[in-house]
Amino acid sequence: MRRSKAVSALAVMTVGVLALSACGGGGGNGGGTEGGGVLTAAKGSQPDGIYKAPKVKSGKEVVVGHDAPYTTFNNQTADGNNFNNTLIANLVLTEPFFVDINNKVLLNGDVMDAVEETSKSPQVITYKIKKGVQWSDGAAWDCDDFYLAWLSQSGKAKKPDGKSTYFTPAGTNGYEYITPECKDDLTFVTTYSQPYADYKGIFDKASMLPAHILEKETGVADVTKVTPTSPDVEKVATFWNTGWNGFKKELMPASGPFKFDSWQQGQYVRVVRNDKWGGNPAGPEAVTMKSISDPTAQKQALQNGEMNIIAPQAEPVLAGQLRELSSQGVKFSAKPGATFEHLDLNFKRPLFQDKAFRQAFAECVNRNEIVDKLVKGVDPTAKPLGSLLFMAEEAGYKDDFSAVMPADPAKAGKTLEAAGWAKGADGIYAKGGQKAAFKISHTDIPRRKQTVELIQSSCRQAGIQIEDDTDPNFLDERVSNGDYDVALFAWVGSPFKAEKKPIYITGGGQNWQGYSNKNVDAEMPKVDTEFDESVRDAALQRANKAMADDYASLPLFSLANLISFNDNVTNVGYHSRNGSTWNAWEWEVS
Amino acid sequence: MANPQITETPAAGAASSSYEFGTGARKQWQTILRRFTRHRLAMVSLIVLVLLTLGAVVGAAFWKYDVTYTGGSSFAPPSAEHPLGTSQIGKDMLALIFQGTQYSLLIALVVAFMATIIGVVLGAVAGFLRGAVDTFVMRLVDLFLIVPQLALVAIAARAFPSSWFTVAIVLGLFSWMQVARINRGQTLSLSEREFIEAAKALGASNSRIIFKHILPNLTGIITVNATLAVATAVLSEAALSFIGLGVKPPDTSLGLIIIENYSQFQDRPWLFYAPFVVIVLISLTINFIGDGLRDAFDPRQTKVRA
Amino acid sequence: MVRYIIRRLLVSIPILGIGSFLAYLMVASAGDPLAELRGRPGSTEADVQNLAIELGLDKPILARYWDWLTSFLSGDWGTSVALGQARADVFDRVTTAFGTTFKLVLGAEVLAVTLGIAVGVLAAVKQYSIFDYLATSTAFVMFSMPVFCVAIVVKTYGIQFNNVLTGMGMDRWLTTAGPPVGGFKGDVFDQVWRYTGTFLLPTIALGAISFAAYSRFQRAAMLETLSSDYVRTAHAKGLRPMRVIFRHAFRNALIPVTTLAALNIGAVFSGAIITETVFGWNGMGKLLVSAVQQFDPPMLMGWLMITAILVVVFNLVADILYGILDPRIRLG
Repeated sequence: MRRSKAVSALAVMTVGVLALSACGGGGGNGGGTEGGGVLTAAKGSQPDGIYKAPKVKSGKEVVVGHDAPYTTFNNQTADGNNFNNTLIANLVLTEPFFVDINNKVLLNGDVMDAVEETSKSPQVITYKIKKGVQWSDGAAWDCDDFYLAWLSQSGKAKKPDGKSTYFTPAGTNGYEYITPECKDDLTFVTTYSQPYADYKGIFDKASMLPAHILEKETGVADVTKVTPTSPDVEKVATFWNTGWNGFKKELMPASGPFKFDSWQQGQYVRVVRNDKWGGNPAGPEAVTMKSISDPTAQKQALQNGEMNIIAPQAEPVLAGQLRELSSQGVKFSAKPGATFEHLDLNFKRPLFQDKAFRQAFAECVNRNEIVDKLVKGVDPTAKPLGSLLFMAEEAGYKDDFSAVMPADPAKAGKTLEAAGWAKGADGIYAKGGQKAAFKISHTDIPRRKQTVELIQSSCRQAGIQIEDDTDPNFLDERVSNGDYDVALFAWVGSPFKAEKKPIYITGGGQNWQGYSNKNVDAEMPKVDTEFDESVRDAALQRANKAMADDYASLPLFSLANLISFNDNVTNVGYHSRNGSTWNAWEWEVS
Repeated sequence: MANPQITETPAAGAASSSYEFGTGARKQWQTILRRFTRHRLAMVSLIVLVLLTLGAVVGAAFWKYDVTYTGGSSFAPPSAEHPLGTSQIGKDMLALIFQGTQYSLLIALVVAFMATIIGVVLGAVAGFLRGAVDTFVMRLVDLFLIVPQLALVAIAARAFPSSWFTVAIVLGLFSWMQVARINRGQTLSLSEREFIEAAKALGASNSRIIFKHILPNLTGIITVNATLAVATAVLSEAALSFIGLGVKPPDTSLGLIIIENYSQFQDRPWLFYAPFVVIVLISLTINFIGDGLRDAFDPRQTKVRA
Repeated sequence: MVRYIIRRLLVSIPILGIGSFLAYLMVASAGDPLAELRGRPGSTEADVQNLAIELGLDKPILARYWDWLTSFLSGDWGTSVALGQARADVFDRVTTAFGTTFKLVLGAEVLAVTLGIAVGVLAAVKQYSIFDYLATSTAFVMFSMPVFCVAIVVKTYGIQFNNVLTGMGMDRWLTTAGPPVGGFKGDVFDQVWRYTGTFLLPTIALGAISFAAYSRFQRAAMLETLSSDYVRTAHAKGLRPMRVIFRHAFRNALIPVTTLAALNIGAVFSGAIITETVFGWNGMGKLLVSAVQQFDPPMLMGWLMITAILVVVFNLVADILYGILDPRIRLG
């Protein structure tokens, strides 16, 4: 549960937005591993930008531990969307593009012939589907599946009240700009009403559900004939919203290398090799996804040989214990991921409209200590994060925050005094009746509580009093209403910079802190229009500098991705978006 | 006080009847006390418990680190500087345990107090009034026992802002059932006795009979069960915290400290054992004290409890 | 007997009814199922209104309770409303979890009762022996210990025991993460072996606490009967001591423990919630915690009802056992 809580509010927003650009994290082609047998690139990744499931040794069943039970085949509904379902979708559904562990985006050569940009203005993308690709029940995997993905997620089918929609997708990113057309069964054409650079990120596997099943269940003869305004849309939507909930094997054919075998509610899901899969057959004959919420229990199950692969939330204690298991043949890898913890200062609060106060707060937070005590146990090379817009491994990364966050309480005190604050009898600064005191709000995760304790401790030395506001529902219910003084949470980061725009521009959809800066507003929109990467990065660097100088939002550190597995499985790695099962068919079991 | 012998000497002119009554009362009290002090295990337990409590309160006041200190290194092993080592963020474990003990005891006392008040009043009223009231109260007890207490508390506590006090109040609201049952039984048999008949005949009101005649006679049972309720409450709170639905930071408790550290049971055993030993000691000593009290109040009763 | 059972069951119905109403009130006031949707980025007031109507929140609480009750009785326990749960069917979810937990509870009870009786009887027969003192002190320590501590210790050493087994060239026996996927396979011996391996550790962890209580109880009951007149008479008649202990004293001393064990089921269930959490089993404990945290009223109601029914049934079992064991009591 912990993982899904940490990111739940964010998972909803980022669904289907695998925004795209070429700034991956490097890594070799044709598969590669680093010391310890941890994957740095997919085995089936080819130099020409194509991915094909590789030929691997056939092996036994693999048991994978994850946090919370599988709930639905349709992971794109607002009700159902959760990371645990993604882990299972990875196994049984296929998609036009495959995102490698190093974030390279490759054409999925097992199911697609080509995806081409056939026009620039307007942007037209043509999907050419490979002939003979089929679902595990024998039906063709083709244009109607693409069409359904669009119909369900474009948000165009409005109810008569004009406000709410028939379909309840978790997100509509990208699909809302599209006018779709099925030229023939194997050719799908999308015309965009405005340029959308991240087109490779949509029609992802979780969206590509079996349209023929929906047709059968709703009695609609051809889903591609259903438009957002046709009368059939209501029953199509009703089925799409709820029809795939739970586990009904006959409604859940697979298009990926595995197909469903069995399920026990709240306990496990088991998939086996899909004999109708057109590519090279999967390595493991079966994969069982077993849910265990407690990370320590997951570790013990791995240690006890009941599980082969686990990817619990990275905690130093657990990481240390997993490292120690190497003598028992347990592999361990922890690498900085794309998700980062940060502090958002709420500009709607008078206290934080005072720039000197923001500066003092930034100066008293001891990021080095936080990283030493909370992160280094997982990843010994960890450092405080210096940018809101780039991860440390990215080419555009420039550390603007270390300079403004010197971890110096004395300096913070001087900053306050220079701005007219005076220390009260209780050792806390005050100015004009306003005490230097506020709350940091966060969800109920031990690491966050510890982070706040460390900040409390160092800022108290600076005469700033911080209260800990732990609320298990903070991310689900409060953060997006701006109901906080300072919020501590993580953005599920990605190399796709378009996602950053709504967070920081004035009035942006995710700018919950009410931040506004002219320079940022000028630079950020270039992520949509600027296709030259170096120019775009320079713009983002200027925006980042402006935000650092404003003490707007304070990045702390990036969270490591942790995966641990028994040494009888190879080709295992952790994908920052798709998790441990992103390449399950490539696993070789001995 | 300085010279107890003097008070023993009857003062001239004192009304002899009231004097005799006073001595009688004191004698009974003294007998109980003497029986209790002779119960060696109970006395040792009492001393240990008092020392633990004092240690947690006085120790916390004088110990060089408080719970806001985070200056130690991560998971330092026990040393002269940090006798129980440090936590992940460098807090002094001894300071944390002092604080956790205080919270645990505080919660347990609130719970025991509530359970006793509610249980005794309902039990006595039901046992004395009988009839419809009795049936009602006993059905209420059945009703409250029908679902595990842990679940009820977990759900009910959600309705309130989380703090140690709400957790304690809610636990108390769902902990009175056994006390009520026992007190009802005793009251039933008490109300058959002559002195109650006499009070009734003299026209005493129901509330007067309950408060002046029945409750004083329940003292023994109330004391024993209140004591045992403290021990139970310490453990209930720990269980609740364990599933993450109990006390939340910044409040703490021994249960919470164990939970934060149990995964290191093998690597850094002191982190687990220190709070564990304290919680077991608290619960164990209170159980023994309860036994001692029971024997002291009612020597006929067997020494076992289940 | 049959008439008694029927009458008792009929008495239970109003209790369950009133209990369900109070539970409904409690659950309804414990949170707001719309809070998450309100906080969800991009959700509109219309969406919130729609969900409120769908969940019946626009109706007065009594009407909502009535709706819930009628569908509950017709077998429709509703669907989850928590985020990410995809409207899981409450009945399915609760009964699966209940099955997992119930097996554990039953096993632990059997273990605790058997051992508790044995130890209690022995301790009473050999009063003030070393065994008695040992049993007494163990019992006191046991019920002064938080349940999860026993589980943590048992689990850790269980895994080490497995390491010893593999060191001797055998397969791992004890499992920590619940039953094997797809059930227990193989020949009878294999199945029994796997089954005990799966349930042994959590059962010990859960049974330990009740064992302590039962052994104390059994000892007290045994002491009482041993000192009663009829046992003295039996001894005086010159019956062999063993015969007296087992034929005369033991039978009567069994009564309190068996009834206690049946009445204690609720407490054991609470213990199971904790034990499961340590072992990472997806039973009633996990379900309760996530339903409380995510605030899922239909799930919570299902959870409370199924446990309430269990407790009611076991209370009845206690009464019946009492009647069977104690011939002086006539049920009817």
